[in-house]
Amino acid sequence: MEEIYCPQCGKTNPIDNKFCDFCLAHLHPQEGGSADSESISVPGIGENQNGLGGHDSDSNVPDWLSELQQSKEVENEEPLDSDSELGKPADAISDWMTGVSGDGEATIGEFSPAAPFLPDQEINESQDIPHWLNDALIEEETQDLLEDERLEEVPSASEEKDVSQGDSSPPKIRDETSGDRENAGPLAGLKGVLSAEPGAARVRKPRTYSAKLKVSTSQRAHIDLLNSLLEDEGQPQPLPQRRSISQQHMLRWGIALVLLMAILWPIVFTNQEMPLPDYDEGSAEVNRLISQLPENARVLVGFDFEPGLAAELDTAAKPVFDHLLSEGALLTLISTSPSGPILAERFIQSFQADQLLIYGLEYVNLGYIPGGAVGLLSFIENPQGTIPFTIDGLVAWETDERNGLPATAGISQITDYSMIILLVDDPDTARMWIEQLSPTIINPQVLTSLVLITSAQLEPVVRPYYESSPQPVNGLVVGLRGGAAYARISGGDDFPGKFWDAFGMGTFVAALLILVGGLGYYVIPELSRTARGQEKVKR
Amino acid sequence: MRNPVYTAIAIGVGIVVLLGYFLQFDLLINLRIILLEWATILVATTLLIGVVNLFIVHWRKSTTDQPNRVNSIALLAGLTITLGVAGWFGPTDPYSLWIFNYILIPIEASLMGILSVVLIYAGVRLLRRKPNLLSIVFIATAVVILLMTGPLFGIDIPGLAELRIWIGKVPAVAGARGILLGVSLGIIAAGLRILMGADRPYGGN
Repeated sequence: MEEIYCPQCGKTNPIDNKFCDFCLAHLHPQEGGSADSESISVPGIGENQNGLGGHDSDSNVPDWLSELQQSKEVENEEPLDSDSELGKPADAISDWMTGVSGDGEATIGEFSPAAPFLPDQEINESQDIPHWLNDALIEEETQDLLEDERLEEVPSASEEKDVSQGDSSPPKIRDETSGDRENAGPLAGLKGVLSAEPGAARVRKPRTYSAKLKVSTSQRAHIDLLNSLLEDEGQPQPLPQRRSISQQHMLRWGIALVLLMAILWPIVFTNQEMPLPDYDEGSAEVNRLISQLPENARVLVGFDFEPGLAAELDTAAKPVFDHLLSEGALLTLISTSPSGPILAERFIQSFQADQLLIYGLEYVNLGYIPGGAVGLLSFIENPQGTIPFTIDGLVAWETDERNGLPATAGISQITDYSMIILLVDDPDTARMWIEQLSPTIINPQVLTSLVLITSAQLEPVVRPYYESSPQPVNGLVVGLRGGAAYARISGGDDFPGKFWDAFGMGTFVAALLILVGGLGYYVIPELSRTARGQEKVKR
Repeated sequence: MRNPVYTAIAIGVGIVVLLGYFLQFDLLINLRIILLEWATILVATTLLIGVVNLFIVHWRKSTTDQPNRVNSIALLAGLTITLGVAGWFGPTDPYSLWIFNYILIPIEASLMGILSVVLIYAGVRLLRRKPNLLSIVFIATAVVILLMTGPLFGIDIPGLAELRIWIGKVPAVAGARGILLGVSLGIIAAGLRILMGADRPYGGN
């Protein structure tokens, strides 16, 4: 059985139906004459108006409406004057009709609800149409014209459906000016009632799409590949056995062995084979400053390095302190590192074999200044108040009440020292000392000089202070090379030659290993790669 | 809730110490010296607290069944022995120096020796993977500095000693100056932030 969709509610109805069983809307597009010749037919009113065509009240008018018409026929046997044409019947019909004919001047025949909304109907400007309604009418006309053009250009969904079904006839659009009379619903009996646009309000069945995934052959191949990969990932793989001795291990052990042999060889078999460096500017300046020290000059020595670098710094500082002690300097030892006082004591002990240094008389160990830069600043500002006792608990400074140690006699402030020597291996510590001391000692009236004995790794950091003007650092001995240069300048022949030879051999072998090893690592893979490439070309 | 007392104390002390650099008033200088001495004592106290805390932490680790408890036991033994020897005989006594000379210094020197081997090994392998200009310059600089820092058997290679001096005085010093300037600017900025109360490392968040 053929069915037809309702343009209003979208539900299916038998094709023979004229109206929808569900919403009572027209199932077929309406075709009718022009609305010019007909006026609206209002039940109960049409019969009383001249020119209003009567309608067949037997066929489509409901009972309640027929009764209403009969009662009005009885009441209106006498002709109505124009003023009262709308008033009485309207009261008897319904309130909404009263609202429509409120002014009582327009006749029902002249009033057509559909007329103002028809695009091709001229609007009589003599009628009293409000301005807003006029604008609305013009806008409506424009929209309708645009829609008509669009409908002509683009086939609607209904046309597509008709084409697909073999129906080549254009879609029938209801002519709203026909003024067909409504046969059902609350507007039954009215003519020219605007109906819903068949295309706009049409509810269609949604398109159905297949839920099955369309997979091409190549996609299927990729899926299979991915599945196989995932399955392989889940399988436990046996770990590769680590070699007990790898190539890296061999290389590390080889480097260590070669380096150790290179360092041990000069110590065991030779003595002072390599010449000491001729001249070093910083070391020479330190030598000059020490040579100019007065007799029994007070010298403050800071030991701020870690025990791991003690061998380098002790060796570099030894010729400097040999010279210093030969000048009769009295030493005050101090440190901002907890291990510094022990390092200082150990360093002084190394001189005891050559010349006896009496504690308290020729040197004094003040111990450790806690607080880093703050403690150091406090010591620079007020040495006696910051460190009043030595590391052994003795009174370090001479006061009015008691005598201090001879090594510190006459010292009340930091500028009373003739020289400050700092042994340092850390850039931050060196910077801390220099920056805290500089405001005090960079003064034309202060004769205190600052000398640094540093590890070789610290040279780039402290050299800017040495080369700047004014000089916060007046002298610089850098590493073993600086110590060896100082030994040569000062004429001391007691610089440990074994260390110097071992140092020279070690640095040479280290440079050679880096050079040869690096080139080997770079050249051998390149050669093998080239050989493989040539074999491929031959094949 | 920020504690205004901490902030006021920190800013006040900082301003007093800073002004002491610029204004030579006896009152200001004396106040600054007192504050610095207090700070020194406070830091020394925190060092003691740190040692006590270290002892407690490793005591707990050694008394409970934890992995690597042997390390904690060794640390406690070393701390106790060193503290006992230095405390009883004095820090400059030969016994104390013996511990220092024959335990502490060899251990740290061994670490430096291992470091030298590792650095040479890294230098050897540096050219293994895709050597570029920077890595070649790095290796060349290291080789030149190493060769010319040592005596090199008294052999004088023309130009190499001058190159070593130039590297040490120009590129290295330029980089070091840049680092020092950056550090100084950072310290100034940090000091100003603390003085203005923007940073409060002393607490009172």
